[in-house]
Amino acid sequence: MNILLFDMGSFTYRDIKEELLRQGHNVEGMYYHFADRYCDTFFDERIRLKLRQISFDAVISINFFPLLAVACHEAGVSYISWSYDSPLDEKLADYFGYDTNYIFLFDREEVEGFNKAGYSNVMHLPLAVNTSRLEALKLTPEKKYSADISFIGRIYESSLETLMLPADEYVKGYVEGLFQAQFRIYGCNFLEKSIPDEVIETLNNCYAKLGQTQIKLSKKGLAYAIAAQITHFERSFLIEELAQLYDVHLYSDKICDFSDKVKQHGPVKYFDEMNRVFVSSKLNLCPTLKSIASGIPLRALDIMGAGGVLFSNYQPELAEYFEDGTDVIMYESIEDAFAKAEYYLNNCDELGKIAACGHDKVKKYFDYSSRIEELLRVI
Amino acid sequence: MKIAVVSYRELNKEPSASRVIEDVIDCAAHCDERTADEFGSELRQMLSELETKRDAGVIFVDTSDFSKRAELTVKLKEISPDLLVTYNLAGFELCTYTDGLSYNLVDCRQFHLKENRCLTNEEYLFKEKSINMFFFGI
Repeated sequence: MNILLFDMGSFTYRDIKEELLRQGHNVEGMYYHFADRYCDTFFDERIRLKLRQISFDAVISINFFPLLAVACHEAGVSYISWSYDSPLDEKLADYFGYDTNYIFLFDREEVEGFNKAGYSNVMHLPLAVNTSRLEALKLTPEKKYSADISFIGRIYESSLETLMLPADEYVKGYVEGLFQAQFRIYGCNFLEKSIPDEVIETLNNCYAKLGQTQIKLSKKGLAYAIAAQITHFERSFLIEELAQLYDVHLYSDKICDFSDKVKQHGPVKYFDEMNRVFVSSKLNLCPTLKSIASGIPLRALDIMGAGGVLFSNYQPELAEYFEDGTDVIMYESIEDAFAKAEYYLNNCDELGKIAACGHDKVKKYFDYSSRIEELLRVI
Repeated sequence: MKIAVVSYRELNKEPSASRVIEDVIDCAAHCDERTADEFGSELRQMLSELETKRDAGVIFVDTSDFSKRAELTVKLKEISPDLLVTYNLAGFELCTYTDGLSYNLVDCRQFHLKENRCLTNEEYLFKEKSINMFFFGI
C-alpha cells in the first residue's frame, strides 16, 4: 500500500514506520508540530496539496488529528489513527463522524464510551512494543543506573485546585470525596459517572460570576482534573515514601519538590538510556494515569519489552494478559504497593524470572507486526 | 514580522539583520515552483511583505549558549518568531528525547540556509524533518 505516515513527535513513530516498511508498504513520512491542532492554515494547505499530488491508499497518524480527518474525508482517503494518549480531548469527537475515519484507541473503556455515543468507527487496539529493537541493544544491568526502584515519567500537575477556587463548600466537599474514593480504587473508573449535573452547573455559575463565560467546564473535564490530581498524589506519595525505605531514583523533565532521599535525575533518551534504567532497576514503578480506565500504557510495555520488572497498579487489561507475581508485580492499594516492594526487594531472586516472563508475553502478544496488520485490515 | 536567527558564535560570521533579510528574500525569489507552492498562502504573504518593506525585527540566538535541546526550544518559544532562520545548520545537533531534531518542535516556518561546503552536522539532515522546514543553498 501507499501510505502517508503523519507524526507530531511520538514515541511510537519509528517502530510503526519500521514495521510498515518491513511489511512491504511504501511509506512517506510527514512530520509537523501543531501549535493549534484545530486551526492551522499552513498545515491545512500543505496536507491538501500532498493528497492532490500523490495517490495514497491510507493516511496513518499516531494520535488523532482533526485537520487530517477533514482533509482525508474531502480527498476520499482512508484515515487511520492509533492513539497512545488517553483520554482524548473531548473536542476531537466532533471530527470522528467521517466515513473515512478509522480510530484506534488502547483503552477499551474509552472505546466503549465512544461506541455508546454512536461512533462505531472507534475501535480497541492495545499498544505494542518492538522487542527486536530492544533485544538488539543487548541490555545488561549497569551500575550507573542501578536502583531498588526507578520511575521514569512525569509527576503530573492538575488544574483541580484552580478549578475549585471559586467553588462553594458543598462542591469542594463533593469533589474531595470523589478524589478520596477513586484514589483508593483501582480497576474501576467512576469519576465522570459520579459527577452530578448540579455540580457542573454550580461550578460554571461560579466561573461566570468571575467573568469567565467563554469556557464551560464539562463532566469529562472535571473528571480528568480529578484523575490528574490523583495521579499526582499517588506518584508523589509512592516516590517520597518508598524513598524513605529504599534507593529510589526519579527521571523526569522537571525537578520536583521531594526530599533528598529521592535521587532526582533529568530526563532520559527514549531509545537508549531509558531501557538501561529499566534493566538496571530492581523494580520499575509505573502508576497508570488515573484517567486511563482499563488500558495498558505504553510505558508499561516499554519496561517489559526492555526486560525490566514492571511494578504497576492493578489495571484491568494488564490483568487480562499478565499474571501478578509471575509476569508483573501489581499492587491494588498504596498499602499493597509497600508490602510488595518490601517482599520483592527482600526476595530479589524472583525478579529475574518475572522480568523474563513479562518480556516473553509482550513479545508474543504485543508485537507491531500483528498490530499493523489489524490497523490496515479495516480498509 | 519577527525573525529569529540561530548561528554559531565560533564561526565568527554572525550575519547582520539586513544580510539575513536579503538572504531570505533572495532564497524565496529563487526557489522552484514546487517549493513556492509548499510555502502556503500565509508564508507567501509574509515573504512578499518582507520584500516590499525590507524590514523586520531580527533576534540572534547563539547555539553555544544552549547545551540541551530544551533550552533552545524554550528560548525560541519565548521569542515566538514568525520565521526561524539558521545558517550552516546551527543547532541541528540538538535532539529531542526520541532523537528527533529539536527544530521539529518549533512552531513556525523555518528557512535553513547552508553554504556549499561539507558541515560536521550534516548527518542530522537524514533525520525526519518537519514540513515547517525549507532548505536553501547560499
